[in-house]
Amino acid sequence: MKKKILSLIMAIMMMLGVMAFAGCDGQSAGYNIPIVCGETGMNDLAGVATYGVDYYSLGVKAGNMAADILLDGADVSTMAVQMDPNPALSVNQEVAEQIGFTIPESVSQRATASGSKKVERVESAIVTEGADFTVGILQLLQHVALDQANEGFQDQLSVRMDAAGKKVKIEDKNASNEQSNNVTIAESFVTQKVDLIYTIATSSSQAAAAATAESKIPVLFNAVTNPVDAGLVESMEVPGGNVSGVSDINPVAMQIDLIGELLGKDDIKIGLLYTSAETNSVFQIGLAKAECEAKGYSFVEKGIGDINDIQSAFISLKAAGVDAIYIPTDNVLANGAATVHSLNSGK
Amino acid sequence: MSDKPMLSLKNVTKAFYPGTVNEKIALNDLSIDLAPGDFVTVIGGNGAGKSTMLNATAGVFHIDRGSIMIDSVDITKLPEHKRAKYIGRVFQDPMTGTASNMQIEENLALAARRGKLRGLGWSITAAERKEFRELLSVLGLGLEDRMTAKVGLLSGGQRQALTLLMATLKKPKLLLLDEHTAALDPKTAAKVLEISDKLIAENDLTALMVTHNMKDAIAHGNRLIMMHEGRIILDVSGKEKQELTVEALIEKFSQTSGETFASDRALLN
Amino acid sequence: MVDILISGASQGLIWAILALGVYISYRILDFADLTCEGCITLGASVAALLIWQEVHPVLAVLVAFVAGCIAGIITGVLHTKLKIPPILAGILTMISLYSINIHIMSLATGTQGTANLSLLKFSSNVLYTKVGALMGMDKMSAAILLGVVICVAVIGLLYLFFGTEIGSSIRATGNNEKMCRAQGIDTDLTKIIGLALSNGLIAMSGSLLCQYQGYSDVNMGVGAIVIGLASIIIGEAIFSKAKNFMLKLTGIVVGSVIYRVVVALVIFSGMPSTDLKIMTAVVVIAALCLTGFFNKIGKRSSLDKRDQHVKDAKKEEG
Repeated sequence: MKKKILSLIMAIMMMLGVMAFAGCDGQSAGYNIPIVCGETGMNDLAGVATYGVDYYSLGVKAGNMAADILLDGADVSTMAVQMDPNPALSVNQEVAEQIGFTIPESVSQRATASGSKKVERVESAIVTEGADFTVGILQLLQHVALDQANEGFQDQLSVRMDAAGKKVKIEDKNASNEQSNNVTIAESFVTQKVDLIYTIATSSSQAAAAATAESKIPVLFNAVTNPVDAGLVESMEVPGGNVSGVSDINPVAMQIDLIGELLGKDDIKIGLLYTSAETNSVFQIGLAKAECEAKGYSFVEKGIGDINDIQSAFISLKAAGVDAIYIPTDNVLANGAATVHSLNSGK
Repeated sequence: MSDKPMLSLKNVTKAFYPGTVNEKIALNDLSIDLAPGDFVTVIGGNGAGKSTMLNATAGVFHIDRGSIMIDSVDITKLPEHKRAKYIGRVFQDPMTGTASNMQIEENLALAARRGKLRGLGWSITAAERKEFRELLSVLGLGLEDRMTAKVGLLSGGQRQALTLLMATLKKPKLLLLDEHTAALDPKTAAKVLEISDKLIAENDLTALMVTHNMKDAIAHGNRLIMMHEGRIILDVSGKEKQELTVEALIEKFSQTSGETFASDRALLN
Repeated sequence: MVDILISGASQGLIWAILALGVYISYRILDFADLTCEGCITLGASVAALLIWQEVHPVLAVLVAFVAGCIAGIITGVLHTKLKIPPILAGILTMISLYSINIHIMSLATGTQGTANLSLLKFSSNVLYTKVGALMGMDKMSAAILLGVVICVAVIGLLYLFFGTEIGSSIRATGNNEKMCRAQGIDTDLTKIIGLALSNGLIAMSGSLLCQYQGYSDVNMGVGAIVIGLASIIIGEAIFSKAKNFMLKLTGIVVGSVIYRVVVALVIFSGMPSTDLKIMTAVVVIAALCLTGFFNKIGKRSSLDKRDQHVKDAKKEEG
């Protein structure tokens, strides 16, 4: 609350500052640098295009992992945490127009054509009696994205079960956003000796991990951004315990590649703008730099302390001659998305 | 008797809802001194300021102007709970003076610690239980055999008698009785008044008793004051008080205030 | 099935500490305190932070208790000194705690805006694992043992405390404030002490909860007040005849365990998860009806008794 009010006041002060600056510096036209944001929410306010994670596809991915464990006896402790194989591309023509940027037709066409590919659920493979396996699903609350994560998992699992001629029983439980129910549900799965637990959201996954510490029932998670920080896995590559799954972290590499596609050339310089104090951002910037190097893009890093630094960050990035700016999923910058855009567009 | 007053109200003024159309001057530059051992009965019409005077003394609210001294200690600025060190109180509503969900002995134990720092000592000791039993038996209400009963189970008269005992348990410098028999039936009221007289006499207390009953006001205490519009309009004591009659009081009231006595209850009693 | 009961009981014993805290504010002090939902997370966050610093989990629980006391004092001061109505005072502390809890968890990770602090990597330094290892028990048995020990200790201490002069003054404050002030009790102070104790217990419950569930999360307090009140009501329904204070407190612990067991059974029964909340409500309503039912049975005899008392009193007064 306080933070919001503060950032609002800051935003207003920023705007006043921008107006004064624009008046004396002839910068009223703004910086007009195309921006790609790490997440769709911020991109809707300040970016020209980005990839957003698709929870249905993530669910399908987790469904495959579950089938590998149940049918093929795969070892969870060595199953790398996976990411969205099929992020949805969205473009923001409004922002593009305001900064005078033209989104290539190849990109905008793909955006309309994209969308998750549904898997046809095999209803006969999901039974309530006489199942070969029982899978418990623990979802934190009813929510569009989380519901998709659940649906994709069940669809894909049913397909794999059917292909193997097996039946699965699914105990689908929802904690109704009461975290005390996380523990109750997770423990009821353990006492029922289910074969696998699929958890959707961080706190549900943590409760299941704690509840299976002794039984070592495999747990697959979804909708967890940073499974390492959440204490669920040792590392993304080798989880090391009975817990693995899919992360909903934004596809940084694809987003960097998208910048190249948007600009239509390889000889580009990307400004990487983020808040230095946020470890999540620092982590993503690391991924971004790696991708830039892989693609041969040059880049300029600009870490800010708080929202007040955006102005000077823009000035130095412009001076460095960047062609585009990449902003990761970052709390400070997401809160200041409107400010970022008004500075950039001069409007 | 020493010449120092036990209670001294000096030019006390209190207005409720100041600055609104409902503004009411409840106490208007009121002054009164009570000598040690004075038992003063207070009468007056509705809204005369009787209860306001008692509440101002007890610290329920702070007064606008003037000062309040008890035994030469200025208590004008003290909060209500700190004045309790000097003052014992019994209220009109029998529910007010006791904690109904707590036992009789627990209530007495709370009263036994009035004016003391309450710490982590036991709320009631065996010695206290014995003492309370004796004190209760003096009341003659059979409460001494029900010391662990919840006060909520007692009748109004029993509760007022218990409140009186609690108010005088730690001998207060001043006892305030605010129409403490008004909610009781006549028989019980008489009994409670009898207990009041006895406790005041035994402990040699200074007391202020508000009543609507003129007969009671004449029959009890050594001094009588009549209030009207936040002032004292009559103050009699000694022989003059003993010779008072209800008729004479009503006469005095209309003479001094220029009005007929407003309260039907006072006339009927 | 037995496992479900054990699981419900082990959680119920942790939530019972919260219910006892809520009992102090709602029933003893007659103060509708909503600090609870922020306070349970406060306890969890403080304990999780300390466990990250390798502090002994018992010490973490005690520090969490103190942190909860401070939150209670703030609500108490807002109410008594700034004259803010109870519900609003509690809400103000609760929403402030949201930010404070995030700050506390951020201290552990060094990352601004940490809303979830995992203890999964610190499971060896968690109370339940320690007790389990010490006694050679699995986690759930350790949780039951620890839960019973803590509940017995808390009930014993509360029983003793409410038998002291201060404790008695707090009870009287919730019963009749006017009488208290007339007897020289600083009701502002007794309210603040009562709220501190209440929220201290709630935070303590949170500190145990985070160790049990393996994390602290800024939203973990959602619904906590309902759980606390439901436990009290169920406990009172079952122990409706209890006069003894210790029995009443025990009733609340039993109520809390029953509530958790019922929720576990509702979840286990395979009914659609969307119906979980309405089923919870039905359980509480059933408990309320039960109270009414038992009261009706009990009332006749107690009414008779009361009439007799009043008659006796009249006789003697007459």
